[in-house]
Amino acid sequence: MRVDTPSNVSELRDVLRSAVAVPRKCSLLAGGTDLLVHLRASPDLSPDLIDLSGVKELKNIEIHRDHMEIGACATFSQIEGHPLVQERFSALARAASLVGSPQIRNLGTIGGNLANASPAADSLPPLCALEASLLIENAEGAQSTLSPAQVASAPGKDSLHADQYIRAVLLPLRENLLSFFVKTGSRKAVAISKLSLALALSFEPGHVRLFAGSLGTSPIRMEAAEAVLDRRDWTEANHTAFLDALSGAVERAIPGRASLPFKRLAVRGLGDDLWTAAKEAISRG
Amino acid sequence: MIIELTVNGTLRSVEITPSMRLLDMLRNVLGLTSVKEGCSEGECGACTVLLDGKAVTSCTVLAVQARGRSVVTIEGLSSDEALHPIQQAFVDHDAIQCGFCTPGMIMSAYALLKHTPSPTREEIQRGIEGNLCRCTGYLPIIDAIEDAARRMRTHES
Amino acid sequence: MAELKYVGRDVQRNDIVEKASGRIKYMGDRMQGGAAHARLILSPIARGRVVSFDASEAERMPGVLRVFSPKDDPGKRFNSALFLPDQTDLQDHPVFTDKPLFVGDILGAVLAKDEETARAAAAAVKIGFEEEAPLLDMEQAALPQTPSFREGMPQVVEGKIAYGEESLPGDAIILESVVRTQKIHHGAMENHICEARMEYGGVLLVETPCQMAFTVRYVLADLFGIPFNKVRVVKTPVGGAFGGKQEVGIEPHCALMALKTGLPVRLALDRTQTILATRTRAASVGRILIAADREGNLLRREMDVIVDAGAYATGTQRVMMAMGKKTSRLYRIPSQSFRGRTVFTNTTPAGACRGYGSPQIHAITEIAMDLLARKLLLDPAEFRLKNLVHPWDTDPAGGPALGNARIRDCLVRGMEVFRWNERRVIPSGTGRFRRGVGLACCTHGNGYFGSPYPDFMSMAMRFCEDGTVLVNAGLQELGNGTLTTIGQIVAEVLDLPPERVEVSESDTSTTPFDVGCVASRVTYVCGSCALELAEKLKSRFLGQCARVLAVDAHRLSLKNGNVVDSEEGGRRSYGGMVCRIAKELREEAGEYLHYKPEANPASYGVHFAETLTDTLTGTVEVTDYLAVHDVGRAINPRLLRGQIYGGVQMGVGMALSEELVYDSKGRPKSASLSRYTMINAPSMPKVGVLLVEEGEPGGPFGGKSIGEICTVPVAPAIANAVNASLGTMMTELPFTPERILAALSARRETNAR
Ligand SMILES: Cc1cc2nc3c(=O)[nH]c(=O)nc-3n(C[C@H](O)[C@H](O)[C@H](O)COP(=O)(O)OP(=O)(O)OC[C@H]3O[C@@H](n4cnc5c(N)ncnc54)[C@H](O)[C@@H]3O)c2cc1C
Ligand code: FES
Ligand code: FES
Repeated sequence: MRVDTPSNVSELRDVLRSAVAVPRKCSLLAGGTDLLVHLRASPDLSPDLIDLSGVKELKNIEIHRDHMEIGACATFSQIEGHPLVQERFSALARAASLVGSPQIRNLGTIGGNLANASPAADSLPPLCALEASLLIENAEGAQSTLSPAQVASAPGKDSLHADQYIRAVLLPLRENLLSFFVKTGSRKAVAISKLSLALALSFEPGHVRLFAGSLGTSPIRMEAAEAVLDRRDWTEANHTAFLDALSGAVERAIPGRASLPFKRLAVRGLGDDLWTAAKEAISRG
Repeated sequence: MIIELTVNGTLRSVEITPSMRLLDMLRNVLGLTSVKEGCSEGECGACTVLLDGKAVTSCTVLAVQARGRSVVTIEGLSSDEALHPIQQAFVDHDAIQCGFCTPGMIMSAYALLKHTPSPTREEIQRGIEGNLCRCTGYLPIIDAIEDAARRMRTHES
Repeated sequence: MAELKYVGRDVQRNDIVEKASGRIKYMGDRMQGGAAHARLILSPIARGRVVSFDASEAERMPGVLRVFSPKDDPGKRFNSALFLPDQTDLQDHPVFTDKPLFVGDILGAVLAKDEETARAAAAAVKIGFEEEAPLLDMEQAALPQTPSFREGMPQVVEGKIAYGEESLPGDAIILESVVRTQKIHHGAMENHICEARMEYGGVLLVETPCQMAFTVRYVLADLFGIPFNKVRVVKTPVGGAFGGKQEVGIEPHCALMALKTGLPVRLALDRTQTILATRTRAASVGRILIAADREGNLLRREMDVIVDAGAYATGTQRVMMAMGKKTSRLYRIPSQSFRGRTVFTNTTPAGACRGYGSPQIHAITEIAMDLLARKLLLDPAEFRLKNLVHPWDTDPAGGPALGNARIRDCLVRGMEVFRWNERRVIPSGTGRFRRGVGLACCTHGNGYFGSPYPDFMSMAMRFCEDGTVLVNAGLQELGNGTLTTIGQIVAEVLDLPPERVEVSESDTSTTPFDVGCVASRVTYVCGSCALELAEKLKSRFLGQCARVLAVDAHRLSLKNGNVVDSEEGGRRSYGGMVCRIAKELREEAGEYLHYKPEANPASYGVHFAETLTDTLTGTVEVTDYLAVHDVGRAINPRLLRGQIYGGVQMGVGMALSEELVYDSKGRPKSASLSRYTMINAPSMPKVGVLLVEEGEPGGPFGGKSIGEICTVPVAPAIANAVNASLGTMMTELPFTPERILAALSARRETNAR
């Protein structure tokens, strides 16, 4: 096993170039909270590693004119504590604060979370709700973008070529955007999501995006429930319609699955949380 | 390969292998056996150390990733004679039974108090949410951390 | 009684500073130079036969010393709970098997120069299997037509306890229910580890963080045919045990490798291996029938309990019988029957686990008691008060007398402090979140007296030349403060600061025989032995001093490290006198005592829980908690409270989240801490503790057990609170969100009909 430790993007490109030149089993390593656990449990695998955690350009969180750029190696602690993320993309800040424990949040990166693409990855639903795209870069520096769902749902999780890596997450800045994230797991804290919901909506009707995590390889959009929310009419009848729409979406997403009886009900609890939060935020104005 | 890093305030050159975890390096190469292995997957917190001032589970970090950085273990908290105020509070509140979780727990507490000198009980609970203890039921630990925070504040002022 | 100086005080635990500093060396922390490192090879299948075992690749790896396969099995079978030859538990456990009976069964091991090599080589061993369908369901396992998968061994081992008339009055109100408790991982933070090597004189030295060093000696000597005095087992610091290190675990494997190679061998398991290959709390299914009259007086109880031993006999049969024995010691019930069946499944073996069956049987009985109270329209607390035992009651099933049984005081005082009457009648509401309160009572023992297992202890105690005291005893400190409380008792009698008393741990070659830090016997039995011996030593020492000083012994007393002469007024240090006794009398200031308890009273507890259940997501939060215990007398109140907090932590896990489950092929679904959910700090409720200290005769200063009983009533107390708040009748632990939502749906459907 060999580990390369580039300290900036140009070194990283060199390493990637040489890695593809002589094809060898090679993995990118960021915080290690998924990969190292996985490798430990499978002693037969021992890929060469390219450590991204020292690449300084990948750790930045920057605000541009119309979007925010979160480096792939930004940790969940960084994201959770960043004032602008909290202000503009609170669903993401919230999801970050609910990942693992402080130790895991200090190591785990958003890029690793996306590339590992567990159905329970907590950053996926908020990023889908917030219309994020992923900036992909290759050894030559060529850039392209992919949606989070594309990375998550690719067969065998190899939507990236051997010389590509996630460089950053791009989040469009929308005015008057509210967003929320809720999850439920086997414990109040430090729990893998059994189910999660992320909601982004504008103050004025017309823009609602609601995604559920842990239902499939990539987050499921809950369109019927979005439509109810977009009425911005907080009556009891609409509340029920909203929860029914969520249950219906879960039923369609995982028919026949052993977890269906639980998830179709539990989604109502998460939905109720979102409903209350959205209603309060919007009526507060 | 040989890497340089700061361990408990001292610059060290350490011979490691590429697949060695930070946990293995600290325990087996440097003899810092306070760092415990309870689960090998980031869940129990027994292996918690500070990496550049932040609590991390050293079982999910490669030794080579600590190159050029600073690591603190519980051996770095206390001098030969005196316990750190957090350690002393753990003693005074009987926040230790078998003691296996203790070093990791204290490192999490240390990291918490560094950033949050006056934590609420809930913040303390969240600060140690990544550390499992099967003996104490956490309550004496939470008391100890609350008390340690008080002691450290009065100490500083 | 004169005022006590050390007993009843919050004396600091003896080893807390070394633990706080991180300097304490658990076995895995010792220097590893010279030792060969072993890694077990575990079966990936739940049942079948090894048809090929190819170690060639592993053996070629640099650093590999030897690969052990099923061929290296000594052939003899053992039982990991045995400690005397007359014990009849089935001996069915191989060391290395070629017929794995559960995922995690031990097939072989790799010995290498370091841990990493051993890990890699173990993964490189290629094993072929012929698989058979596993037997996983314990109720199916109990059916008479189910064949045994354990050649020549019974599939069911039955036990019965009954007393009183079998008939039921016609007008009795009857509750019938089936309660299920789950398989649980002990969760000690230190994984299993052990070292073995040959020492001078051909002695097999085995060092292990265990609870019962003499059991380890018994099993090893018997298994390998070595004279007992050539096997030396030494207990090392323990990072949590909870019964998981009570039975012999990996010591036979480690010792076998040392015996075969002559090398010092360290065998360490990781978490997954510890979950898969050691022991568990036995799962159980209890069918229960309770009959009461309209006023709520209990008339009869019938229990038919199936206990899942997993794949090997281990100590589960004992656990099952212990469950039965608890049932006649909590309530006055005119007649009762208990039938227990230990059955075998292709799952990780069960065995001792904090409470030794008590948490299981109390979950069964106490959840059912609440359901009956509901049927009777009675307050569950009032219902219990009508029926609880009184001090000095006897055990109608023939067990030892209950002693100063103060469960009624616990309940009455607890109700007041918890404001039970007030809180019970608060409606749980109709909204999303439902609040409720629940309680559960329990009893547990104080040693082995009155059971088939002999209970006795010996200790030696001596003053050193500086006046410090050495207690030589086969004890095992497990983190629960054993050495500290024993030291306090000795310090009290000999009147010197507890830190001047050093209490030893088990070393089978140098400490007297003892049956272990198990069975909740340490305070009541070992503590009493220490007390009596300290008194014996005191009178010997005073006599020796009197001879040296040529005065009447009645004039002398021990005071804070000095021998005081009441007439002359002189004070002489213990150390000084010890030296004079040595020189002038040519004697040691030491004593030895054989101690046998003549009673085994019951300890009691009542726990009160308040829960808040989210009826939409099914999550339960324990929002308030009170633990009330009849402890006779708290030797060290702070350590005692610590036991209770920890017991509650384990119990909340049993109530809500911990569960070892298997897929249809018998593969464990929760073999890591990411899948096996123990309670962490944010989920831990605040716990109030209330102690009833009315003194237990036969216990040191009136003290009795706490360490196991404090986890016993937690799960049923929480379950009862949840059921009360939701109007459900859930009886399957743990109450996971999935089960809560299913129960709510079922209730909605019945209501709709
Ligand atoms: C105790 C514990 C609790 C956890 N709790 C949660 C939780 O609550 N919610 C949750 O979502 N997750 C959780 N996780 C999982 C994990 O922490 C996260 O998925 C984390 O974001 C992974 O990031 P990392 O930097 O550690 O990734 P690594 O482990 O370093 O890498 C993961 C994968 O991503 C690839 N990769 C990493 N960076 C890039 C990049 N820039 N470009 C391309 N590929 C890349 C790697 O090659 C690897 O395949 C938990 C893990 C642990 C151990
Ligand atoms: S050993 Fe690292 S978190 Fe458990
Ligand atoms: S003190 Fe034993 S695990 Fe915490």
